[in-house]
Amino acid sequence: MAAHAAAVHHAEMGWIRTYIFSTDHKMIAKQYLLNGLFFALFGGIIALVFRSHLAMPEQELLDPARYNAYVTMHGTLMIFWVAMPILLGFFGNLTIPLMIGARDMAFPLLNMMSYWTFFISSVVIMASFFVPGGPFAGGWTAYAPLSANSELTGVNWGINLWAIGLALEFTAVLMGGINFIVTPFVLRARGMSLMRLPIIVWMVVIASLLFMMSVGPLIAGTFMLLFDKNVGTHFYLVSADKIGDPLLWQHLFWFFGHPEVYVILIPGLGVISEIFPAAARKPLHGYKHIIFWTIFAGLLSFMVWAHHMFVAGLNPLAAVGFSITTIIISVPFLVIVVAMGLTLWGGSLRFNAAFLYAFFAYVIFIVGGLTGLQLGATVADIQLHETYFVVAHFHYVIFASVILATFAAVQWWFPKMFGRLMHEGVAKVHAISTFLLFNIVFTPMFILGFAGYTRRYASYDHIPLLQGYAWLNDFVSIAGVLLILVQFLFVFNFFYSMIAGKRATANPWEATTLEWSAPSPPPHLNWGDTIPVVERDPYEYAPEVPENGADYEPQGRLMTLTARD
Amino acid sequence: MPIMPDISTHGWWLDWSLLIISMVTLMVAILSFTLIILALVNFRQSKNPTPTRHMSGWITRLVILDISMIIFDIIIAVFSTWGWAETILKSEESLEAKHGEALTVNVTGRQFFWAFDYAGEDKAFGTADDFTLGNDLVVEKDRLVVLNMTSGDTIHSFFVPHLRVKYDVIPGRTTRVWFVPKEAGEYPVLCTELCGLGHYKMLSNVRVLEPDDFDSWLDSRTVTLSAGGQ
Repeated sequence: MAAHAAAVHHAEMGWIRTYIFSTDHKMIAKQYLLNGLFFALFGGIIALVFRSHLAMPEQELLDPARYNAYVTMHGTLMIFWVAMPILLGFFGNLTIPLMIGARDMAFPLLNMMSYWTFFISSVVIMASFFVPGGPFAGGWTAYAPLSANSELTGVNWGINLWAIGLALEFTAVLMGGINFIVTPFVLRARGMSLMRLPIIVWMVVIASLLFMMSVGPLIAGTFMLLFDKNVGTHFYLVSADKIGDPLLWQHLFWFFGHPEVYVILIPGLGVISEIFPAAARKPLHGYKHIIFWTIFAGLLSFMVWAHHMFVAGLNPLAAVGFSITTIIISVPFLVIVVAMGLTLWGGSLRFNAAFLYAFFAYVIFIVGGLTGLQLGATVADIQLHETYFVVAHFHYVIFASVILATFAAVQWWFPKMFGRLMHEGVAKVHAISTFLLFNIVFTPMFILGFAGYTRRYASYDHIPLLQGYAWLNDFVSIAGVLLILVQFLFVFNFFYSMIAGKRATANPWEATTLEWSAPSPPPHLNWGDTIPVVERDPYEYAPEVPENGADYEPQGRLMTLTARD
Repeated sequence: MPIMPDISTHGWWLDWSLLIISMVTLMVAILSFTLIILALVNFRQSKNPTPTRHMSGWITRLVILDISMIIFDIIIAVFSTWGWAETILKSEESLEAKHGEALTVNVTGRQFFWAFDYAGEDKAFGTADDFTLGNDLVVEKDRLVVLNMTSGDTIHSFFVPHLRVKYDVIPGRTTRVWFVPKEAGEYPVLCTELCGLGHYKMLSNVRVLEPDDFDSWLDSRTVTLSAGGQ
């Protein structure tokens, strides 16, 4: 511990080391957050453009090739440049060291490299908008041969930059992921046993493990894609003598892709389970159940990938097995959702804005989870596959875990980032309007899916079959534009509060976990001349014997460092 | 239901499984949202200032929920697997034993049209009386149709909403779908796998003809062909 004591008093660092090439986990978290939020806004505006085009195709806002490109980039950016940096990069970096009582990540320099590799990947993917032919237009799932042969889409450099950007982004998350896994296992404060770790830490660890175990095949697959396209190999492209198989890409992509869904879902559930106990003023219900069932769901997620491929030409017998594993995965999530609900039941609910965000995320996730069953049942999926029903389903899942849980987390941990509170009133208006508009946009899409609306069509006006529901699709477009516009409330609230928000005390929410024992914002290396010692479980609200007169007991207390420590 | 009317013999498997799952999930959703609203109303801070730390009662036993979910899952899995076995997994022999001789059509998807190859009068491919139709699949009512599909460039997907048929069309592979249309008429075919800039315009139709009309149509095709050959 002597090294720690010495480290506390090291010299002030320059501007560049503090704000740009920082190794401080809080600064890296903020960098990841800002980068992710930029792409969230950008991806949202792309959606605004292509939905406007769908609402009034006669205006020809986009030509069909550009329409495909925008749909592709909306998916790509939202998954890889919004969900990944925020749910792992931001949540993991901000919460893990503070919550386990560490001074920083286990490998701070690697952490810095992780962000800057991510930044380079952001530049690469943004560059694809400015190359001849425009960005990649083969769908965010990049099914070969469409992605492996530039003649089929007319996009050449866009594909290369997409693949290179993706490989760089994966590298960045791998470097960050090593930190997220190692740090909670080696740098926990005294008394912090594994079963006392706050749930979000567990969730980020599980998500990072899932990511690391699944991403290898796809990185290889991405390079095979680049070789097929540029060197003339035949991994996915079928050659004259029948070598090469397009289904190989789908297997590699979804073997990564389904665990990836949980990578960007589980940390979101973690945020909800952090905020619910503090809002309800009672301990998290079923802490161990949530952890173990999440691990089970994570392992099972490696055995469900072909449910994206029931009618893709896979051996139809295999579909039966994948359908059954997919249906089984509803069990762990039912338990997790019920445990969260029971946390609220019997509580004394404080309706602050962070709770509203988390609560709406919870409600929306339930709908997303339940509608997965129609798609997981092989025979029902025949009709719904690749329709708007699928679009509605995954937006219900991902909007909850990525967008709303992020708003909740930013609202909740804003004091630990900037030492100020976000404006509660603006946040509540934003939360309620986002929730209502989200449902207005995506519930009709379930109906459109039943009606036969196929995804990724640049126009539906020329199809007589679908005209009965054309008004509903137009309605979705208009509501979608409004949904994106109300997000500027958040942008305003974020920057306004950063500069002029109310100053926050160390523990504005009267929460228990360790980060609320640190000052707001915590200094570099977090704990100054003290070090936390953990004394109890993470969510000790409503203690039977209140020791300090409050209705909660902090998980640990700060001990002053002595020469011996 | 916004879903298209079903004109196939196997479609009720899809429709019933969709209906059953949708009804049950809707019930689960209504139940959970009722409980959630009750929680919000009853346990807000002003109404319930002192939280209950320990809860009791059956609802806290997560194992009960596990078991009920597992039962629900088993019902879905059995029903959907059964439906799968009765639709996609059916072998051509068992289908022909049930519905009689099949009309086999070879389908090729290309950017951005469908080509339908017929074997002609002699029911064998690769002979002189073969003929090809573009974006127009003509079939006979109440007769089994088997489509052997492949792609000439990228992946497409053959989707006929009324016939409850959807299957991908892949270069280098042959995929098979079957259906028995029950009603004459004209039904649209949509491509459901992104295949390039003309994806949304890759439309075709299935014309289901009464048996007599189909025979005379086939005769007229043969006459035109032999006339062209002379």
